[in-house]
Amino acid sequence: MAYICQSCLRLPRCSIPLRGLTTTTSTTPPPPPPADFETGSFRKDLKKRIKSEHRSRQSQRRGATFPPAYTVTCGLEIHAQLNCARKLFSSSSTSISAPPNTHIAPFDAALPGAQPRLNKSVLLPALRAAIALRCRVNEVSRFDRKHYFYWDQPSGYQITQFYSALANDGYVVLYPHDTPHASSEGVRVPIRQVQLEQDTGKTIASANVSLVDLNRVGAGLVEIITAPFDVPSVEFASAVMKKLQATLRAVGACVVGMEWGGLRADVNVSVRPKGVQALGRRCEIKNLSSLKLVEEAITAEVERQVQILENGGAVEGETRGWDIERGTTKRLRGKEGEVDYRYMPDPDLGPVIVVPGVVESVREGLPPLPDEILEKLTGTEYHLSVKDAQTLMMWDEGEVGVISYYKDVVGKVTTALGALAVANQKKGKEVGKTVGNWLIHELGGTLTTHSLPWSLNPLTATTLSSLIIHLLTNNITSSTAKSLLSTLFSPGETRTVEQIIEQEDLAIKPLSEAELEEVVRRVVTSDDDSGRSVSVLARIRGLRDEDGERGEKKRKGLASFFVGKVMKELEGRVRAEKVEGAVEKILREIV
Amino acid sequence: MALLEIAKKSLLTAEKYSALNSLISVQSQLGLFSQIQASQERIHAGNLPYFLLTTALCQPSDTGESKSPIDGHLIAVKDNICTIDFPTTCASKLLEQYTSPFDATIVRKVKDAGAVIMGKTNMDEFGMGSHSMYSHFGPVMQSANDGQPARSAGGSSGGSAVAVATGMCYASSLECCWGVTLSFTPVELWEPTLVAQFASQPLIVELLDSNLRMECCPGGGWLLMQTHWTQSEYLGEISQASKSYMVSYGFRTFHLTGLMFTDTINGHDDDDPTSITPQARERIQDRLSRSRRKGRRLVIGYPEEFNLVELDDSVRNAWENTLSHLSLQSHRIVAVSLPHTKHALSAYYVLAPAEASSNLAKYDGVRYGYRDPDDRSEDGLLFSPTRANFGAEVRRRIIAGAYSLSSEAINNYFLKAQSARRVIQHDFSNAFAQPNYLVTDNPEEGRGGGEGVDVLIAPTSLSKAPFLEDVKMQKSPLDSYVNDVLTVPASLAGIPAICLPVVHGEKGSVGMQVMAQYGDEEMMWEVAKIIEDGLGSKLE
Repeated sequence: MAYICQSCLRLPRCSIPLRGLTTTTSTTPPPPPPADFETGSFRKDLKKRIKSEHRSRQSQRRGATFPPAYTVTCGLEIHAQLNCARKLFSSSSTSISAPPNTHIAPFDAALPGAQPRLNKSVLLPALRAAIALRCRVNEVSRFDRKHYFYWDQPSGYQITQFYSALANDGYVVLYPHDTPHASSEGVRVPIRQVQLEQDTGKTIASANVSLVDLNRVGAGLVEIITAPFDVPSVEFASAVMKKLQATLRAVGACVVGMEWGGLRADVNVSVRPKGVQALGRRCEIKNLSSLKLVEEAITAEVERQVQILENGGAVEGETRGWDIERGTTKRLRGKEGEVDYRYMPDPDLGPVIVVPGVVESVREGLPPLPDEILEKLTGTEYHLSVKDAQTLMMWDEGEVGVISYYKDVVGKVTTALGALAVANQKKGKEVGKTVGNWLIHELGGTLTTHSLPWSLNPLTATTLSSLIIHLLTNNITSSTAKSLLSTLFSPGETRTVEQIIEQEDLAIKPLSEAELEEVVRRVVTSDDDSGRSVSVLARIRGLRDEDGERGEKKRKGLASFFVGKVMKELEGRVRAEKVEGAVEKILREIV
Repeated sequence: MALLEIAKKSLLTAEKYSALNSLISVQSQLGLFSQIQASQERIHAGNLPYFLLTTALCQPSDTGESKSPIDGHLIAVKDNICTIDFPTTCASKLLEQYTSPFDATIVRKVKDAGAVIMGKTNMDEFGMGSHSMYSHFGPVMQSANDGQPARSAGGSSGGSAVAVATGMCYASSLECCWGVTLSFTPVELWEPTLVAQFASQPLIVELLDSNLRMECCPGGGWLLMQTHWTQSEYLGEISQASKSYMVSYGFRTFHLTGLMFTDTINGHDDDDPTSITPQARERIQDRLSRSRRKGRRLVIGYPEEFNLVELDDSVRNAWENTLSHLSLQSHRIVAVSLPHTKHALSAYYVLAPAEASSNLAKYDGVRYGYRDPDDRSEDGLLFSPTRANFGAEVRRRIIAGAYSLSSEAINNYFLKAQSARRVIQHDFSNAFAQPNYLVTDNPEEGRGGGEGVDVLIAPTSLSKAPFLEDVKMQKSPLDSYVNDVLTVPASLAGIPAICLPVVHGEKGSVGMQVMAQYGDEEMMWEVAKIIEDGLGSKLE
């Protein structure tokens, strides 16, 4: 039937494709021409535009701190897409980049007569999330219906867990590496509840017509509800978000990042004068789809609430939205206008019963948490700085493959170097650091140049490690290594590092003194560069009479022109110090 | 009679009684005949007609290439069961043009068995009503063959009832007609022991349609409601009240009921979250059969609370006749008290509208169905111009349901009604000799001290079918709800029940229901058969 995409029916299980994504922003773009819609270029542009707006606003606000006379308290409700190939109650596959309305089962579209069927595989990522967040997993949890009318909610209700949730009473701890506001014992942020629920569709609105995409309808989410916690600065709130996201990522519970709509947050904000115990009246800001938006919305909302209090007013409990155009929160509805969701136990769905032993076995199978990874990366095995370790961990919003890739390369290089690795370590040049630098700066930089996400990295761990091994064993110079890296990125390149070194003659050649001097002499005296060498040479000659430090310094500066030329000529095959020496010698001869 | 002849006769009947308005859509003659022709060729004339094989219900027919005992027979389907060959309207303006992209599981099974769907029957809009008068396509009428004014055909499946009674889908004595229905299950009623590693496979007690039991009997048909494991409602019935309804069917005789039951419909459906798993089913059957009083002297109960002052004398007499017939067969008759029966009707009319308000929230006109040119009302309420096109009864129940689920009323209505339902279930479980093995493994559990009964017998309605004119004169829509007072208790309890006509007086018959413990259809059948043999209406 028309509503079901073939892949929904065929694929037994597929991973969420993270490549070639298009954006999922649900704000208000102009109506897209159909062709653009297909290719996604329109949405790319939109995303770019919104990003740049954020950036400019962000720079205005940077450094903004909360008014010192007030305590700010936040509560987060975070909705994260579960890492599951199929939807919560239907067999259609989850997707973040498919053409609109191609992944819809009858139940997703709320066709008459269609019924939900719990896809048990969502429970694994959900349980992982709950356990990683130190929650108590309830033996029995149930599904309830939350009713409200909206066109992106086909059945007129969302299936969620209201009366008894999957898990309760957990926490997450923030350390100094997460936020400057934490001491070394850490700050504990309590988590009240972790529950399963359905995602809604997406609306792409415009002046005249609203387009609805139901692909996302019914995808499994976990909603994570924190208890209210004091927020010393807005960065602390986003550090909590980051920490939660990193945790969910690390255990494979949620793999789609905020930028792709995989994570959305509602934020409750209240302020009270310092010293007052009772919490202020809170406002809820709905549907914030990025960390930046969370920060901006909290900052603006605190400003607004403090303003009201300063003017002798009282904050009204209400639901607000983020006005992306104006950079302020705006009132959606007040208390009296609150929707009565008429929560009702879903009569079509049985309870989820977690039998004894399941929690333990999930916990045992849990991958290490970010704090554990960080500890390991910065420890004696890898010697990374906290900053570099965090860079690796947050690559492409926490791409899980990066860390294992890194460890793999370090392992391969260490093994290959043998005793040399130990020697290097004594000199403070630990393999872990070197590989970290190469991964972050060289490989990372090249990926960025090519606008590639990590998932499209063309270098295997073996390739990168052999490149680094050649470098560390002085088989190639570091400039050769860098250019080799770009070669490996060129399309259609299938040769191994060894083959390229061999075929392009890149290995450091044991050039004799005489050979090197011969090359230097030729370069210095050449006139094939529009007379530049000649004029440099002339200026060096002009310095002959100038003694002292200044003259020496100028001379060296001019000589480095020839060093560079020689290096280029030799394509980096001779180490720079040696070339410098030879240039010095020849210059002395001929000047 | 050859299948084709039977079909022709049925179509003539449908034409003759078209004024009764029992069908919303009908298959074209041509389409019908070509399908039946195919069955005819499959079956081979000259073989034994399958109804002679009824002593061996479970054996596959050995006649020709016949697909099943119902191969080539006409089936009418209530219009809230999804079909790809006909629109599925639920008798509502909101689905006037809607055709489902899939067949309900039960329709698929019937088609696979070779039966021919002859049309879709009229009903109360979304199953809400007791007289099949609240249809977007006009009310259903029951023929007035006794010279009196037209009577109510019952509801909500009045169209199905009339189709069966008149023989529109009638074949010698072997036709049937389908209807749909209600049932309700408390969320607590799951069975934890069957849960797979991560999640439960939910088990639901199915529900029987209370209304259908009432409506079929005036027409002289059988109605079966069974425990949920036997069939699927997945992708089947369009939910009004999810757990309050299940598919049930009306028949004219015992034989076909049995055949349909065993061969065609029975079975777990993976697509229905409320369909019981094969393992659970096996376990329950095993427990029940260990201690069943089969072939011996049965204990038959009659619930005292069903003997209401409002009961018509003719109905009370028929009830007494039924009990004394059973007594003559040397079964023991005992009075049983189900003390909370009086709460059943009000509990039902809190729970069913609550679920209806939720289940009908999907009809917003956005994706399918009728859509008003205006999406929202002037004060910004989404979809209200579209949803204003529900009929009066549906709107009434949606509003009542939305209220009883609202945060200020839920404690006092919805949750109270759930508790009432639970005590009603306990009443029934205490009365039966066997426990409800869905929720317990202990054979002694729940029995209120005594030996317990094998089945319960009670009438299905307070009186014979009322005249349509009288129904129209009713001052309050609530007056119709009262008609369900005798059928709702079993529905709420989630136990199987079968309704059959017993002859009373010269022409008339009165509906009597046999109720049994959860899963114990076998006992229910046995008693129903005894009653039919002695008091059943003798069809030609």
